[in-house]
Amino acid sequence: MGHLTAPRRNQTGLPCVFTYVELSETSARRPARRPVLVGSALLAVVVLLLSPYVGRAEPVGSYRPPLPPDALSDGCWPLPGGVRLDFGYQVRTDEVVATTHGPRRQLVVHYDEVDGAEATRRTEAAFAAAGVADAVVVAHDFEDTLPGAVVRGQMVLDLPPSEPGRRPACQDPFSTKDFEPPIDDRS
Amino acid sequence: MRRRWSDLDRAQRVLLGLVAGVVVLRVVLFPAVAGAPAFGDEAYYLDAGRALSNLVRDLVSFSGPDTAELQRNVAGSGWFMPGMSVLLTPLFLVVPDAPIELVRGYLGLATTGLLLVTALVVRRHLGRVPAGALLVMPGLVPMYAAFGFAAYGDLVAGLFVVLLLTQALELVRRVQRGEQVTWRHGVDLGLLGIAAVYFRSSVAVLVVGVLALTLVAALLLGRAQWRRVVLAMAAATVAFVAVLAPWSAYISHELGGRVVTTTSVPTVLANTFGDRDDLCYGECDPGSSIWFSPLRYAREVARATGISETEALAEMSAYARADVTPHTYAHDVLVNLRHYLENPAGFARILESPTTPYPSAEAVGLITYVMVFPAFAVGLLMLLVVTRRSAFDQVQSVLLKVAIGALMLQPFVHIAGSRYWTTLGPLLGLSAAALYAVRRPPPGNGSGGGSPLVALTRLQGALAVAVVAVAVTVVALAL
Repeated sequence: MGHLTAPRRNQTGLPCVFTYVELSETSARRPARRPVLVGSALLAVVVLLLSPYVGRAEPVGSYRPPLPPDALSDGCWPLPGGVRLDFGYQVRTDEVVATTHGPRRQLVVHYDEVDGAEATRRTEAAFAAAGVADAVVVAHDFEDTLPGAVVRGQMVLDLPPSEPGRRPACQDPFSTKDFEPPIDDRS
Repeated sequence: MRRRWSDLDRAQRVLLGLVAGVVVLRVVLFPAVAGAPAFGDEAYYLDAGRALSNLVRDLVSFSGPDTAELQRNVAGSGWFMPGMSVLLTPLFLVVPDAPIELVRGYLGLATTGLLLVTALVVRRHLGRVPAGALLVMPGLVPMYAAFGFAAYGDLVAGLFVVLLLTQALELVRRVQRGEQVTWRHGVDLGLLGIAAVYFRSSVAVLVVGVLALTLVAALLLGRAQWRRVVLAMAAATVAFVAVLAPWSAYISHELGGRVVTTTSVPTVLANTFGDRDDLCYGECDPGSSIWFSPLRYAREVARATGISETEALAEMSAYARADVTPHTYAHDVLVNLRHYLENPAGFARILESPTTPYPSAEAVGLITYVMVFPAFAVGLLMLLVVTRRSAFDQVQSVLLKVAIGALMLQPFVHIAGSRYWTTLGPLLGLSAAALYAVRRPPPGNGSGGGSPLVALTRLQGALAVAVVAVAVTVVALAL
C-alpha cells in the first residue's frame, strides 16, 4: 500500500477535491494519470451516446400530483340553478348533512379579493337571477391576515341537497371536497 | 501499493484499519438495507434524477426536452435543491428503470467514496488524528452507514462542509506562511460551499458564516496580503452565486415567484411555530401530510387569483403564525431541539429492507446511540472551548463553532427529525480531534500553527458567550 496522500491541484484547474486522488508521490505516477482521465472521459462519452437507446426513465410524479379541478365549475357538482360564483374562491368542504329540515347541502368556501358583504351580495344576486329561492348565504371576514392578502374570509352556503356526478373524476375528494367517509393519507 | 504492511508505521496501520472498518460495515449492512422502499423525500430525489437523465438523453439526441416532465419532477414544488438528483442522474442514464436495490448500492458506493476522499483530504491538510476521527465519527456509526444508501442530501452536504472547512483552513495556513493566495483558492471554497447547498439548502447559513469568518481570520493573520485575501473571497462569492443562480432562476420561473433556494420556508415556519389548524385559514384538507395539504390549498388560491403559489403560501403562513409569542416560539425551539437530538437511529427501521436476510435495526440503533450521544456532548464542548494553543488551532476552533452553531439554527426555524444529525456528524468527528489537540503542548517553532492571537481568543470567547446567551434566553422564555 502506498502513502495515502491527498490530491493536488491538477492541470485542469478543477478544485483538487473533485479530481484525482493520488496514491503515491513518486514521479512515475504522474504520466499514469493521463490514461485514467482519458479512459474516464471516453467512458462518459460512450454512456452519453448510448443513453438514448436504453429507453427513457419513468418518473412516478408523486411529489407533484396534478391539481384536480374544482367540482363546482367542471360539471361534477354544480351549484343549484347552474349558478357560478363570479369571484375567486376555494372550496373547503361540500357535504350533504342531516338537519331538522331534512338533508341539506352544506358548502363552505373561502372568498378572495372581495369582502364578505360583497361576496354575499353577488352570490345572493346570482341565486335570485337563477330562480333559486332555497339558498342561505352567511359570510365572515378573517382577521389577522397580512395586509393585501388575497384570501379574505369564509362563506357558508346552505343549499338544497344534491349529489356529485357519477363519473370517476367526480369521486375525487380533493375535487369535490366531500371528505365523508374520512380518507386515508394519500398525500 | 507495493509497500508492505510491515513498512507502515502505527498511525498508518490504524488509518488503514479504519478505512477497512468503514468498508466492511457498509458491505455487511447493504443486504439489510438494499430493498427498503423509497421513503418520503427520497421519492422526489429519485424522480428528479429520472427526469434529469431524460433531459440528458434529449440533449444528446438533439430533441426538445420534456419541459412538462422537468417542471413536475425537477422543479416540483420547489421544496428541494437537486444535488442528490444530479448525483443519481448517471445511474438512470445507464439503467433507466433501476430497481431500488441498485439505487441504494450506487448511492452507497458514491457516499463511501466521498467519505474516504474527504478523509484523505483531511489527512493531508489537518493531519492523521482528524482523519481518523472522521473515519470513526461518523464513518463507523451504523446509522450513518445506512444513510449512505439513502437518497437524502443531508449526509453528502455534511461531507462537503468538511471539505469546505478543510480548504478554508488551508487558505488560512497559506496566509500564515506568507504563501500567495489566489482567486483560484477562493473559487475552490465557493464551489465546495455551493455543492453542499445543492445537497441540502439549509447549510447555506453555515457556508456564508464559514466564508465570512475565514475572511476575518485570514485578514487578522496576513494583513500584508489583504488585497489578495479579499480577492479570493470575492471569487468564492462569485463562484457560489454563479452556480446557485441557474437554479434560482429556473425555480423562480417555474413557480412564478422569487425563490433563491427553496419555497418551503413559510410552510415550515407555520408548521413548526404556528397553528397548523389555521394554515389553510382553518384546517387544511384531510387525507394528506402537513406539507402536501397546505401546498394544495396554495395552488388552489393561485389558480383562483393568479398570484403565485409561493405568495399564497407566505400569506397563509403569516395567518397561521398570528398568535406566536416569544414563549410559544421558545417552547417549540426546545421541542425541535429534543427531536433533533433524541433519536439518531430513528430511521433504522425505515431503512431496513422488508426482505432483509438478517435483522439489523436493533443493532444499528444500539451502536448508534452509544456512539452518537457522546459525540453530541463533544459538539457542545466544542462550542464552549476557547483555545490559545496556536493561531491555526484558534481559527479551526472559530470555524468549527460557526459551522456547528449554524447547523444548530435548524431547530430555530424547522421541525427537526432523526436525519439532520448526519450533516453535523462529520463536524463532531473533527471537533473530537480538535479538542484532543488543544490538550497537547503547543507545536514548536517550524511546525506551523503560529503564535496565538488575542483577537482570535476574543472571537472564540464571543461565540461561546453567544451560545450560552441564546441557550439561557430560550430556556428563560420557554419557562
